[in-house]
Amino acid sequence: MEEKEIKVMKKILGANDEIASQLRRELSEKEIFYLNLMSSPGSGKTTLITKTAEKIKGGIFVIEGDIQTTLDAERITNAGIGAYQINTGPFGGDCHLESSWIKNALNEINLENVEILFVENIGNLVCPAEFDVGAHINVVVLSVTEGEDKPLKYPLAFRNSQLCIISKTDLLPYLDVSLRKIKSNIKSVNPQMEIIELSAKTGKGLKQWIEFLSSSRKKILRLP
Amino acid sequence: MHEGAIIHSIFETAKTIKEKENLKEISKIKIIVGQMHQVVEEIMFMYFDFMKKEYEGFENSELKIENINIKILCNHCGKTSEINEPVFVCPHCGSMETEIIAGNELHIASLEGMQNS
Repeated sequence: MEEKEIKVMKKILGANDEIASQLRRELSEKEIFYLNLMSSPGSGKTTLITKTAEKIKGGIFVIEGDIQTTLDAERITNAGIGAYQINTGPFGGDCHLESSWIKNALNEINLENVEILFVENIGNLVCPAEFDVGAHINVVVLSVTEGEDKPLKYPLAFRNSQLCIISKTDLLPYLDVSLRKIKSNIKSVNPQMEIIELSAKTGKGLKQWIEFLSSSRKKILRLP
Repeated sequence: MHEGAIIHSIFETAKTIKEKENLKEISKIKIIVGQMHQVVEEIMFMYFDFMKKEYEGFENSELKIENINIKILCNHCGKTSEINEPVFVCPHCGSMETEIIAGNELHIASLEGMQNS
């Protein structure tokens, strides 16, 4: 036997990426607009979805990712929206979702009449950014209470997203936080990022978000 | 902690290569990690040592990590720069029209091992 070095140069997450690409194709064919919501815990992802459903009547389905509990899925279903819960493990479970888990979930979901599919990823700005779940658009939600520095601390989540929703803007008068600085930090990490300032409490920015959903859906799925 | 999922993917990919290349025992797996990926090396090594026992022929293998710094190309002035902070602004001309040309890597570079005769 002799020692041998085999040059490989293969993407470590290549298998995940392949399934993600397949999901993107399949959901495009079904004319379902698919968004992956990423953020820190407590930034307002679930509230954003329930408020969205109040504006868009019907056609929304949510895959909820959590390490534990079905609390968010319950909030979603209580708002009259279809939901499927993925729990990654009761103790020390994975802190992100992978494309194969979404694929398995979709096999169990009736997608008839679904026009918009949200994946509410596990609250964490590091791990979910690594794994392509096959979404048409990655949305990162950043609440103003998290401060100005998060885009610089977690660049991959902001670099891999196309839209950033700055949430809880109604709290700005009570915080020593500069909205201008938050936005400039986002842009320095990802100059192409679209930004929507939003308060689910006052409703500010919701119209812009709904318009974004409508126009992006048509553009990406090439709908009339 | 996505390091566990990354190490798992490394072993699954390496297992296929090992079989294809008719290798008996793997002594080293070299990976390349760009700075954009926020992996903690100590946790990578911990998961590697934990999981290698589950893969036949990998029990005595070691993980070697090569880190790649972030490099950007400015589409305005055409210069390339290495950056230490995730601020993708050209340090030469201040343009934001930049693209990452290094630092996004997350690859298995090579496998070393004994080949079946």
